[in-house]
Amino acid sequence: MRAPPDARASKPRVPPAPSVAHDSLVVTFAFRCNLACTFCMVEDVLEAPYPGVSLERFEALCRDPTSTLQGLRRVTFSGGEVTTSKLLPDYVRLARSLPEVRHVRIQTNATRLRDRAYLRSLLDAGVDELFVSFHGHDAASTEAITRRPGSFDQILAGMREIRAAGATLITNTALVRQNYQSLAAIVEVVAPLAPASIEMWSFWPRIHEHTREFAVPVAELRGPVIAAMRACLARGIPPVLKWFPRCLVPPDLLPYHDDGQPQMLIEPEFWDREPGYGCLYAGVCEDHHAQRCSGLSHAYVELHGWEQDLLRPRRVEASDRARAGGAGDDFVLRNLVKDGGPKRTHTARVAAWLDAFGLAFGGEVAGWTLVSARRSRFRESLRLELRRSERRAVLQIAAGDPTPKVVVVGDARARREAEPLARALGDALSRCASPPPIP
Amino acid sequence: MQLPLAERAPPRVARAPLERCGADEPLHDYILERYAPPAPPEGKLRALNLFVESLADAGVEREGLRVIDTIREGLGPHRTVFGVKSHTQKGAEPGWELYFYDFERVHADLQIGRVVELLGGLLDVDAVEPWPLPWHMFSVELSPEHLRRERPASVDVYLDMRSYKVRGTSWELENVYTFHDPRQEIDELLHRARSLVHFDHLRWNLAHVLPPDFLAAHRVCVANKRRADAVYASRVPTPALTRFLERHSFPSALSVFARRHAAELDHLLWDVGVDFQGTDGELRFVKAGVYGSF
Repeated sequence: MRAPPDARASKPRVPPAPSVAHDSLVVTFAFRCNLACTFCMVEDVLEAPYPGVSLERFEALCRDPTSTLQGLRRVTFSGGEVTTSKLLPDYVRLARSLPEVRHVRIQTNATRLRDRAYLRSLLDAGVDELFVSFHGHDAASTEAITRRPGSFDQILAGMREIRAAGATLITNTALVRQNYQSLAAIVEVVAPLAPASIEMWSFWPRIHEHTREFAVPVAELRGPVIAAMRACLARGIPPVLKWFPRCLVPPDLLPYHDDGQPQMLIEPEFWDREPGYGCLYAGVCEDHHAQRCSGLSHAYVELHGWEQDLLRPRRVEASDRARAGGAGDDFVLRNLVKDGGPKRTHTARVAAWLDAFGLAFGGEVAGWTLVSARRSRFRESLRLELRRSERRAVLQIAAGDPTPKVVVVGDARARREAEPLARALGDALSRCASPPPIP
Repeated sequence: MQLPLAERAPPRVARAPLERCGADEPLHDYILERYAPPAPPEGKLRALNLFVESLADAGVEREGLRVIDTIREGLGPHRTVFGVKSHTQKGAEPGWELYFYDFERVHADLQIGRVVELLGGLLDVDAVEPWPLPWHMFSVELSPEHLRRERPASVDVYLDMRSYKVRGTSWELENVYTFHDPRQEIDELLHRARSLVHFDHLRWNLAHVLPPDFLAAHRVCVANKRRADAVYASRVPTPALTRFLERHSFPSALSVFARRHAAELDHLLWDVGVDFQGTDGELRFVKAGVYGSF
């Protein structure tokens, strides 16, 4: 089902990239790769390679007037690294033989595309969109991920050839611990190549035991992701953000959040290890009901939790929930909580207090991300923890009259680094005409 | 010739023949509410088989089967919920519980005294109802010791979101609990979770007690017990049951059974629950239970 438009999204200055979820099909083959990325999203598939969709099978599907391929506007080939297959041009030509197909895309690491003649052969066969995985802003960070020396230069060279050939370049960066602090720098590397869009996908944890190594808490990830999206827009390039909680995306960036994915032709057992996604607030969230937001992966939840204090679901009215079929049975609820009346937890009180100053957990202040807030035992102060890249700042807000005072906790270096932040926070607090007491 | 993988799995422990469902098999959750099977039940395994497997694994299959048969003969089929318990305490014996429901109190045959009498030839139950109480359910605990008549069993009585343990003529408050729809009542559920004394919601991962399988359940029950808090999830599918069995140190015979027979258990929904204590700054699971009906 196509998600209805989000009325809360601001009118975008840069047109969003068209969603490929509904008119495209991903066809998989060539489950092998010439790189060895540490967090490969199909690593388990490469370890015990799937045969994939054979050329013969694909040809039969193309010729079958009743197959799922009919009516498609786009065919995407993915593996593995499909450029390792000599048959790729044959697949592409078959896709182009489908009458309504307008675009043929390959998902690739682009290393082989630095060979101009090879790239030309693919374009001549019918490829017009190249979706390139690009995970680091320099050779050191990239090759720590790809585990292949020289791969950064090879990928860049491949992307330059795509640009020179006039084909459509789209990049995709997986959001992982190894690169999340340099997302804006990745944008700066990619932007001169004029990609049609820069996609950022939250880590897709098919092999759960590796999750701890890669999955970044969304409170930490949010700031760098937003900065990278803004960097894209400043360059006139639409970002695409996937599998990141939509309620943590500022309104002006909502048009660039898209959890939609096209259907895929792959071995059925692939889905046995498909990561589950969900959200604690799924039943009351408008974005979940509208299928705009997948929530958090279960592997993330097991590692970092449901983020119940951070997420801010766009709530659906109870009557709408009932219409949506959520409250259809006749189960009689006998609920002591309702009898006891509303009680607000400490976290909720602190969140409400911060909200009075326009601050929120996961929100930004002067480039820092607010991670946590704890009040002192006797409520004389509130300690805020903020993060920027690897730096951590702790600010103490003392109960003051009329305006709370902000001081940096830590040594001289910490104070020097966080002083602009303290000033910005102090300004935010002072803008409130009658600050409520610390909760 | 290589054998199929399933044939290499350990054989089941129980000797009793597997019981199978009929075409119109009524299936009930742990409050004895009927549910629509997610797959056709005919010819597939009854939930009871897991109960029997656990009895056999504990070495009391014969004694347990006599209790099951007596209950079915006395009250009829599809009227009883069973629970299989796993205690993490070192050296703790496995345990079971049988639950008898009558929300409307319309079944004259279902009284504590009547069930105690039914079971009288098989185990000693030491519980006396002082006067007719407005219970909607009562339960009888079982352990290998009870089944071997080495000590008398007690009864738990459930009324108005509370339960009491009855030993002889004494009553003790055991449990206060609430049910929540995890989709429509997430705020109430979160409130209950944040109010638990055995869970530090500011420091510990809520998913440890409310994992994704619980949030996908039909209902979540939060209980406050005398020495622990507990969370239950109702109507979880067999793959979620299997994960639960493996996560909470049930005898491996049970998870092996669930995995080996997964295709023959896909029509069933199960109920699961876990007791936990927050002690010395750590979350410890102290008991877990899985539930079905027969």
